[in-house]
Amino acid sequence: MNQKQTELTTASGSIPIEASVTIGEIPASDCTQDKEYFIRQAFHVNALTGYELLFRQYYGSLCSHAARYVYTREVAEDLVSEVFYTFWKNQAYLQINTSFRAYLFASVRYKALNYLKWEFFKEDHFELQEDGETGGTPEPDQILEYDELYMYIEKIAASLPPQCRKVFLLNRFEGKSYAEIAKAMGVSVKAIEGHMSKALAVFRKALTAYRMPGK
Amino acid sequence: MEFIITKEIMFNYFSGHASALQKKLIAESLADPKNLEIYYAYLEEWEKCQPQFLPDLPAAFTKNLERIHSTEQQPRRLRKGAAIHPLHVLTSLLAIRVAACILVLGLTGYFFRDHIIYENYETAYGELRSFTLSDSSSVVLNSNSTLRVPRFTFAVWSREVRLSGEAEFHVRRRGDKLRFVVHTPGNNTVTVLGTEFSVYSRNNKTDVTLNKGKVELASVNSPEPTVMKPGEKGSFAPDGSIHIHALSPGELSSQTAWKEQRFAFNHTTLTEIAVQIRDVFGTDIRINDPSLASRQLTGTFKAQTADDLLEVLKEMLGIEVIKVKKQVHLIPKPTNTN
Repeated sequence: MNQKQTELTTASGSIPIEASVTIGEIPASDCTQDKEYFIRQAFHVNALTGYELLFRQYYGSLCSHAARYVYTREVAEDLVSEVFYTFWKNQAYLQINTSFRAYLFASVRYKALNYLKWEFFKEDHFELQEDGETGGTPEPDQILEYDELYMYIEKIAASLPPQCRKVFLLNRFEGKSYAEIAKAMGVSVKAIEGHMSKALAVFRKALTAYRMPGK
Repeated sequence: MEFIITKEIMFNYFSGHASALQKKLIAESLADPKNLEIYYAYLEEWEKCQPQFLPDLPAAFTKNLERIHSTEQQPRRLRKGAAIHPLHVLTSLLAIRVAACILVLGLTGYFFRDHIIYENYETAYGELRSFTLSDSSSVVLNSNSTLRVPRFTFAVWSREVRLSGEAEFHVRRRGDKLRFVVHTPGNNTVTVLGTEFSVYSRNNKTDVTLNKGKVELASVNSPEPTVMKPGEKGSFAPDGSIHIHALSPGELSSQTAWKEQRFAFNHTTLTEIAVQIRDVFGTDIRINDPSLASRQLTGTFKAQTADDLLEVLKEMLGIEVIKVKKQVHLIPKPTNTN
């Protein structure tokens, strides 16, 4: 369970508070304990070191979370990287009054939602994000809507016929080309194209019927 | 309101298995900002337990840093809200960026200083390499050797190179006073006054063979330079003392036999041959039998691989060559004892 590792010797120098840093080793049952104490301290000493620690602490879980919405590894990483970049560019660490974790997760969800809207409905929310819009702190019932959305997307993916789902995951999640998948599965590229357009149609239809969180 | 929802309930909820009642309970408790933090803490932990995939963290961070630094030089579009204290915001941002840049550059430079300051020429086992330095001197580098040449100052301030392994140098004479100096491990130096020589520096031993011209040898313990004449071989002992003796023409040519991928032996014991094979091909050779280890061999043999040479040894000495994993054992033929 305790797989959280925080490396102290970072590329941008080691932080001076080296004494037994136990970020991530606090029992999960006790979430009230302040896991981010050392990261905040690091931001005071050297912003870049703090930033690196923060990145290392949350990048993996944020990517995993983003992937539940966008269903592609690459886009998930890009979105999370973008959130971190905005965080650094706007010096959000000086301004936010929630935990870094809450801020980052909320921002990633917001970006992921906008990406979906852009991808399936070509809603042009994507441009706005260049200015570092993060959607602010979501309302409690909005949070549950976000939860429902990724669970819903999981259901859509699970509802695809097995062969179609396999192709969808290989192409979209793993980033394999149609030709690679066709070769691995021993079918024609045409067949792969068919599976993909079917899968995307199912997604588009299901998401159109769904009320997206937010405004 | 206390957050009475357990981790199990939250994990079930995130996995989509919570009941409608549990969802209602969660929704209600999230109204408290403190519970919101707990919610995100559980979400993070759940994602760590149930990752969708494992991204390459170091690569991602490097990419992210690059992006941060690449945008640093570009003029930044001011946001509407920032217009109130533009100067203040800009200067503080700039200072942080400049500091971060310098820090990262400095650290990168520190870690890669060897690659920045020196151009490294390296050869693998069994590989020969010849090249010309920027002062037009040419070098033939034997297998398993490294020659480090200062990237920026070579032939400008000095002509000093560092060798570990074995190499032959043809030094180009120059009008200026820049002497060509070869440093070897153990603070031994070979200063070139003439032209052609080869340096062998392995296993704490450094030998210099001079074909043409004049070189000076010096070490920490013998700082007074010793001058060598053509056809001589100078050896640095591990303690830094220098010994010079003349070579016969045959011996002289055998010193650089490696350039034609030949091995020249002259009453060379099998132990010494084993060391040479290890130096050139990286093959670990074991000889447990003392009488076999002291047997001698004379002749010149062409060998491109360790196996070529081992085949020769097997034929000439009538021994068995047995390979166990990465080691090669040389043992006397069992029939010899009959």
